[in-house]
Amino acid sequence: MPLQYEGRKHLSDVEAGYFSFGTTSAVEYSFATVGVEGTGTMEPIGTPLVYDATASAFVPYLAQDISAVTASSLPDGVSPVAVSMGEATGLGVNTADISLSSTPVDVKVMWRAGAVKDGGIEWGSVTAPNQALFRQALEAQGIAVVESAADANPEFYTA
Amino acid sequence: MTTEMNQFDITKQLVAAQGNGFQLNDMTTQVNMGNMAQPSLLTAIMGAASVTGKEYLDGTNIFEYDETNYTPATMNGKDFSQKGKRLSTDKPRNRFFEVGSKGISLNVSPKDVNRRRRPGSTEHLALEDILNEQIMKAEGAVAFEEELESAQILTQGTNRTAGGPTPSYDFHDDILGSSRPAATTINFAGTAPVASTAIRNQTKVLRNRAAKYGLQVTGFDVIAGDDFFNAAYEYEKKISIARDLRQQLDLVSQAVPVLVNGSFQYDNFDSPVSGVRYINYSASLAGSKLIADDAAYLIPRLSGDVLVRKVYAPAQTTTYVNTVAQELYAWFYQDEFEGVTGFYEQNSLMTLPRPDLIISLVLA
Repeated sequence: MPLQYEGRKHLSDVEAGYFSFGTTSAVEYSFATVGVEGTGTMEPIGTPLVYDATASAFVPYLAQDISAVTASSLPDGVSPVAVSMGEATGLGVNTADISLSSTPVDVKVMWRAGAVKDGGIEWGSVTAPNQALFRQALEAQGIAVVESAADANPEFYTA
Repeated sequence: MTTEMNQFDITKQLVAAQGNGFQLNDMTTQVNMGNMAQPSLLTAIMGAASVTGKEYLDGTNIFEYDETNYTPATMNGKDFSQKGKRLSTDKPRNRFFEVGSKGISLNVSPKDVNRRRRPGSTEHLALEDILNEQIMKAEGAVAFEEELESAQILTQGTNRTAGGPTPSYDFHDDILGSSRPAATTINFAGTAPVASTAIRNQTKVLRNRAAKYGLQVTGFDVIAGDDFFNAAYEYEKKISIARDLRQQLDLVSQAVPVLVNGSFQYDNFDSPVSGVRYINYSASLAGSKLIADDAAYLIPRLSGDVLVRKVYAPAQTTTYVNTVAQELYAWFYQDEFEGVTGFYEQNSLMTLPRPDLIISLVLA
């Protein structure tokens, strides 16, 4: 097998816009840096995260009960979900998958007043009903979920 | 450094090797593995100026036109003192169709190109590189939509809403009072009638309908799926066997002619005995064949009017509201921090004012 590397995911594969107040007022409004724990690895851009009170950190979302989260480490102290937007050094920084452990690793996230592309979210094995619950949680935090265009999959000839 | 190797003009550029910044590798021309297929044969055939008339609505998305009728009458015998029976007057009809909107959007962030390398070179990836790709993809999506619209009007006689809220129109039903009749079966192994006669009978049906609308027919196209085309081709080849050729093309010993559209060659041939041109179209979009394998659609080449009317409506923005429509709208916003965001919008409706001028055929 020859060596091969794939171009890393772009910020705009997931981030579809954010509240201009953050830009014009020079404050970090839609984004924050949070600690993430877990096992295995996670993609720095587009991983859905939910706060885990036991770990006191965010963890990749799979099927956790979002409605049971009553407090979080986000600036408002309560928002339960976020979507990763890059490594700790800044938005869109994506040099390698992040190794997760029981020690929190800082990740940039979008947590309010913005928009994300649904097709860019790393759903992994999250079931469709749980994806829907996560989208609702994003909307509740003021993050619009933009549907991704379908693949045209054109063929000149199909046998 | 540029080195000429046979037909390749390879630009040699050195890059640091992965995993070891003290080793150098040679970066040469990239290889495209993307899907550049852009099937657009129906857009070309159905969208030709002789087939589709384009109209640009002025300040509205409602397409309205008047339809006139003419019912010929016969004379009756009478005695010399009578004046004859009275002619009826024909009533015009006023039709309205709503033009819907379709769109696609894109955005590119400066973060997308931070520390990234342009494929095939050692240069920085530029915002324009991604933007160009996104624009190509957006314009490709517009072209795919036109092809899908053309396919739907041809195969079903309905407009394509693409999942939007625009009303769906069945033009045959809406205009003629009943849905398009079931496809006429063509049996290329049949004897009563033989296939060429069966096809010719359908051309006579179309010629009659066109003549009733006051139109001339200059020829016929049969846009056929794979199985239908292959059956017609094999049938046509047999006709030429064991007799002197009376036509330029010997289908038995010569390759089937092709017509080029975009970057693809489509098989087609003229059938002198049936009076039609068969065109094979087996393209698919989103996993579905645009023309089913056993299906074919007979359309006339008209003189005097068009088969399809494609209507465009204006965008409803400050600049374009209440103006004459354009075929495609695009807006781009650039922000120092967020990058470039763009939207494309097309507000169009393909209509079939005389829906019975398309005949569906199916292979037996």
